[in-house]
Amino acid sequence: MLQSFTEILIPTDDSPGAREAHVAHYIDFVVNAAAEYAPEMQNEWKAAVAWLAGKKLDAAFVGGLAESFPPYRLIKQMTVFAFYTSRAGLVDDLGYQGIAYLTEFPACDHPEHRRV
Amino acid sequence: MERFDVIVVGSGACGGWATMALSQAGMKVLLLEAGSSIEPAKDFGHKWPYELPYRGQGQPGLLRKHFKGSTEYNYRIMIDDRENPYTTPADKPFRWSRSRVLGGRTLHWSRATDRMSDFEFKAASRDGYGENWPISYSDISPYYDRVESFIGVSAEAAGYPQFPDGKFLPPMKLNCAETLFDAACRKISLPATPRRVAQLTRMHNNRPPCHYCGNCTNGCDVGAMFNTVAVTLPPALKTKNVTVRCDSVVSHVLMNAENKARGVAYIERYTKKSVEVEARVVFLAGSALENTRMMLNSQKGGLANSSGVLGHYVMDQISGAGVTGFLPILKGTAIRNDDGKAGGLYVPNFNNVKTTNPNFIRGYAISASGGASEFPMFAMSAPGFGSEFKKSVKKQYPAQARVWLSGGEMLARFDNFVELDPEVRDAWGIPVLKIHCTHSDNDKKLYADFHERAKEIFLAARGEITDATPRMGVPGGLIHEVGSCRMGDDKKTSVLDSFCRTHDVGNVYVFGGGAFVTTGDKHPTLTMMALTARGCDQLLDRARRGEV
Repeated sequence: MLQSFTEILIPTDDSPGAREAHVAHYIDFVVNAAAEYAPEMQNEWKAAVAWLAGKKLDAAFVGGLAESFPPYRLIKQMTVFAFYTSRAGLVDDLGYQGIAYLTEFPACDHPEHRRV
Repeated sequence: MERFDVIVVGSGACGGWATMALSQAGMKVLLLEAGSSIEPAKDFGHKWPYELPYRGQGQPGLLRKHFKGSTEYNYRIMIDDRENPYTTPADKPFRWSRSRVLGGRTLHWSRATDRMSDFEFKAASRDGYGENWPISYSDISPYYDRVESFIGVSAEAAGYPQFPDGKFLPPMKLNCAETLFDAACRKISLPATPRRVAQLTRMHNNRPPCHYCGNCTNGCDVGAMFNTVAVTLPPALKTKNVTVRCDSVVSHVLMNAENKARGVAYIERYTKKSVEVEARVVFLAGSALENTRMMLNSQKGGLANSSGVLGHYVMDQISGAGVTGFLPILKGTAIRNDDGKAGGLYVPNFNNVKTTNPNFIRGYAISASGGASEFPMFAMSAPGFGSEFKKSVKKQYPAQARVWLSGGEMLARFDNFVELDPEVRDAWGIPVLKIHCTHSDNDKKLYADFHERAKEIFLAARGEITDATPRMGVPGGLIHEVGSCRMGDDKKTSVLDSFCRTHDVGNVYVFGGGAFVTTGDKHPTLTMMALTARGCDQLLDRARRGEV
């Protein structure tokens, strides 16, 4: 259920999505580890998942949700974090260039950026 | 009992420098460090977030609760509050972020390396508030030269009188967002220059240049950024005059009947065994507030405290929320390596320099940066879902931008102070500090002014602001805590003389931010190191004259 929902939020299209990033697995791992120092987070998560249970998970359902609705906001934030910190999200989708070995920093070379 | 010429307590920026300077002059030095030893080449390295269990955040709740100011990358070298707590009154929060490790906070610092100027040292003469420093720029400038030349500082000579130039390697180059902010600052007549950093842009003193991996605050594996372990400790060890003892928690300075220090007492971190060591001179260099804690714990009423100001005039530069958003001209552009070097654009203080600001005294410095930095934070609150959401995040990713407060001057006030908590002790039975620190009215006005300026810079860069909610930081939050053991010419109103030697006890020197009379608006580390170099010179002069 969680996996289907994260795949609607971050689908696999011309780049990898929540499935390739194993987002649902990762969220399970983090929420499980929250028991020790952040039990309140675990409780919020349980409430959010209970809300999700039994819903018809499709784009029409997600499209009708308000961004500020707490269960939706929590699941979406966890999904977005898990995706963009994964290799699939950070490197394959976004194309992040850092954590490299360079001899020179690739500085701005656009004359148009020297005037605003 | 073991005897040394000098005991240096703490191996951070100042302790490392002192150990090097004294051992090279032939003195036998014992360097005591409360934390563990570390080998950067082995213990640090490039890490992707997905190589860490919690992607950099740490186990949920753990770092926020017990390891203030740390990340999953570096919390193992930070202090666990459960082992070494501190207290505050309930209505006066203070965020004290500390390390215990060989090299201290130099291992993960932000590397900003600024000279202070007479606008700061002599501010009291200009606006009538508080005290001047007992030194002026001309006293300290040769030591700035010496420290910069040795550690390597990448910067641009900018010619601003309030931000003196020094001995520089070529500057870190600006990325696209920083170039746009630079142009914006010029448009609205604000000073701006690349952030000055103790990070090499070319080979220097047998250390390799930066390879632009961007992992600086996780620890540099090659020694391209200044830290004790890579820079000051190797030449010290080469002299064979240095004994380094890690996992040694110093509790107090030992005194003799003539009111001179005879050594220090420490507790072995793991065995909890108490040990005493003796020396002719004691250097405390364990960070501003830890030094004061040791002094308060050394004698009833505090070591070298005939003035009664030991513990008082605690400060931390003002921090707080800045402005974030996007630079639309960068939306949809190719992803570049924008965060391989840290630093950004630095806007040195411009308040109360050429003109007088009617609303507040002193000043602040601003930083600005942006681009495709690792995690797209804005995506956490971006609307939408599905493929459209992914496309929009990717389009905005290289256009991220922020303007933040580098540090504002917090006024020195007697009412901001630390004392020993009568009830709480750390894991080694040493009384902990109770910190009382709040912002003054001037501090709040200064922050409000910064916030307006940050928006102005953002808009001048044709930026699109998404969050500009003012929120002043908690004292301590900038990790520029200074004061509590201030220097001065008058022994009735200060603890240290201008060489960082205590007025009352001739063989105790105290190095670090504790000596600061004011915070100024610059990053403090270079000034702390220059004061250390100056104090070491004075001690060596006195030793040559047979006075030690």
